[in-house]
Amino acid sequence: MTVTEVSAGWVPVAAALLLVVAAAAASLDGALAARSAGQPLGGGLLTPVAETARLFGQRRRTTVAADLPLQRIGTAGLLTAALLMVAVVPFGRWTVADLTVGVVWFNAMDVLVWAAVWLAGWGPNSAHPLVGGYRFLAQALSYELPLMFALTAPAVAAGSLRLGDVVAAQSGLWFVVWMPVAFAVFCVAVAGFSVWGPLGAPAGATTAGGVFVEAAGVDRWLLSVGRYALLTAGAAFGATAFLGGGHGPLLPAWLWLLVKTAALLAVLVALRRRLPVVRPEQLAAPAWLVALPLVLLQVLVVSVVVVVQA
Amino acid sequence: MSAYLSLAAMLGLAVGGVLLAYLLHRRTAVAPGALTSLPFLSGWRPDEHALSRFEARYYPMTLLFLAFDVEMLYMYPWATVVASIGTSAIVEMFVLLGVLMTGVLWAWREGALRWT
Amino acid sequence: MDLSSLAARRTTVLAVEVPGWSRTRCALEQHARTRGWRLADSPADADLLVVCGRPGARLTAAVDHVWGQLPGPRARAEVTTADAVPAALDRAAAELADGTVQRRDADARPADPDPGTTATGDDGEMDMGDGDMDHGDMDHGDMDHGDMDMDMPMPGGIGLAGGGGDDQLADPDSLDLDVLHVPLGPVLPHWPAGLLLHTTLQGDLVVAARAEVLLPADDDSPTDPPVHGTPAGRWDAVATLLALAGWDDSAVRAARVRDELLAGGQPPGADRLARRITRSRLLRWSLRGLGRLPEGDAHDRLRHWLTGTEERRSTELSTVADLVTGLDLASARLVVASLDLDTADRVTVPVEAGS
Repeated sequence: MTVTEVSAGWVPVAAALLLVVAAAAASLDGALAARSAGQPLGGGLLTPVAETARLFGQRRRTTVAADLPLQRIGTAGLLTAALLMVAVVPFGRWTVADLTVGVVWFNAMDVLVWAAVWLAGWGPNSAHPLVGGYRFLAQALSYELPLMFALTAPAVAAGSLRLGDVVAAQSGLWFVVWMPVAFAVFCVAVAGFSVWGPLGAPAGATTAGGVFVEAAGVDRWLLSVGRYALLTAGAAFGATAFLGGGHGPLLPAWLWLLVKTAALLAVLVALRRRLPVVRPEQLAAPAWLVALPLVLLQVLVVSVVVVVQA
Repeated sequence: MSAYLSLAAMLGLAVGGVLLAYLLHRRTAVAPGALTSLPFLSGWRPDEHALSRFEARYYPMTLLFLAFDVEMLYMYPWATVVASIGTSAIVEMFVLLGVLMTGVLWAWREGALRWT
Repeated sequence: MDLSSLAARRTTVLAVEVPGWSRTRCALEQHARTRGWRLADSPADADLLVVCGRPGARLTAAVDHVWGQLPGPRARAEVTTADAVPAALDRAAAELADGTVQRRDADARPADPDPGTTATGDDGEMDMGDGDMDHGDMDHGDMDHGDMDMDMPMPGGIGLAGGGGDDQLADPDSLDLDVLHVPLGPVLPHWPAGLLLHTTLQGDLVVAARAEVLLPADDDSPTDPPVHGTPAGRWDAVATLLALAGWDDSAVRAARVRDELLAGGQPPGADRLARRITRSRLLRWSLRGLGRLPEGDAHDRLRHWLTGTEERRSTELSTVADLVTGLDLASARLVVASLDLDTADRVTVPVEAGS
């Protein structure tokens, strides 16, 4: 399967698609929350709509002596990073930005999230968000390296950093089959840069909502949307780099990508129901001493296989 | 080149979309301007501004991270040539990674991964 | 369906419990849940501020200050009995939905924020702190403001952070780091009613702490029986600890078990939920070793609540302060929740604040 680049005119379509899938993820989360609260699922499914209505009716809020420019950058940064991530992911046979370094671009955007979350925590000049922002950095230091090496595994196997080539290399066998460690580490890292589920400590209840504490109205909306958008962009990238992208029988390529993204996203959303939050200081040792060597070993295995095949 | 044009368009769309959200919010919210408030401190006035010289006790880990992060610059180009160069590419890269990993073990023994 | 009726489906409630009115707070949480509403993490998140019980002077000051931090549309209610909760929520919901009232409220709010009072101010003595700095540092020894120009006007009349004097930990790299004085409570979700923990934070590390309990009003006492010390009270403690540990799903289910017990029923899913919670390895890993007391750590106490085998114990406020000192803010929150403090117990005999 070859991936062709479409004109920049399709950019809004790609962005809208990301937001629609992100809204679906929020709906699913709402429905699961309603189920555990013993409430009808229908109300839960409406969560993204109702929350949007609530936050657009709510007044914005600034704190005394806030670092407003930085806070704005942080607030808008999550959604921006997610949109820029998804721009390089091929939607079946089409992509809006066929970068020769697509994998590196994704990596660069997820590092952008470091700045965004920390700035969202620093900006309000308030103790709880500040602690939340610094907790994110601690957590990011643990998940980022395993993520980077996990990203190189598909690149080594495809011999290219272009996502179209990564998809093409999976025409026979999906990468997840022989790179399970890289895929698992990748999924945990997606939860990490989306401040989600077990890696949601920077926005956790222990800091009264962390980087969200002072945000109201459209600011809180942007942060929440950004979080779901990052989770969605991560799932779309994971479906592309590990789950064969648009490859699959019968259905058209774009639909396969959508199905795989939705499935991975649903698993990530459900993770939040199943698991408590990991404290960032507890994550460091297992990330550096277990996940990092394991994922390096994974890259070694992949490289050896590639060289033997060549 | 056109790929970067699309990315620029996406960035423009993101910034424009955020601005649009702010404009729309001004019309729909109960009051257009922001409410100025003291930071939330469980109902009390803060003694001092929170923006300060914050002690990030995990900073030894940041140095460790930097060492690996610089290494990543080699890793990406390397990934594209493993197949063509062959065994020597693997050996050279993993000797370097092994050295770095030894550094991690040393840092761990020195307590760089614990900060509470 | 218009915007405000859609928004009403996700009404977010900030609950404030006055020591002694835990039954009222449980009823509030239950009714909010059955309406599909949500509990707020902070005032910026909240549409509704509900005070459960009759607060004393200092508690009232804190509640009033937080009321000024709700962005609006906002509504406020005070309830003192579990039975009064539904009607109070109905009234508050109607007020929230009334666009005219809300716009008038928004227009009438002052441009400058309510100055509030410092956490260290004494009962009845309102220090408005208009422009001048009050660090209220009587308990923290001498403070080092070496680099602060006292004459410079500070934004909001609030000073810059400085060194912590005696409280500050020695820094091996002799970096000139600041400490922050962060009061925890009384208006803080998942926090013992009326508890005020004065903390000094260096980074996110608690380097000094002092605890006290803010009293309810003298002229009123709760009519509902306390939840503490009952099976429902144990599930309430479980729900609080799990919410802080970030396991919302099990926390909500624990709260449902609590509410069924309070209603006099036999919750069918309780045993299964208890097994699910005790079996979680991730939860054990994140609670293990926290808040160690002679009879065990936070996870042991959680297990004892679930099996109903915990011993009644009275934790001194000074013990609370000692346990959290040296922990980071998040762990400190988990430790406090794991103690399941009965602050109402102290109301009749005010305890001298610990060292």
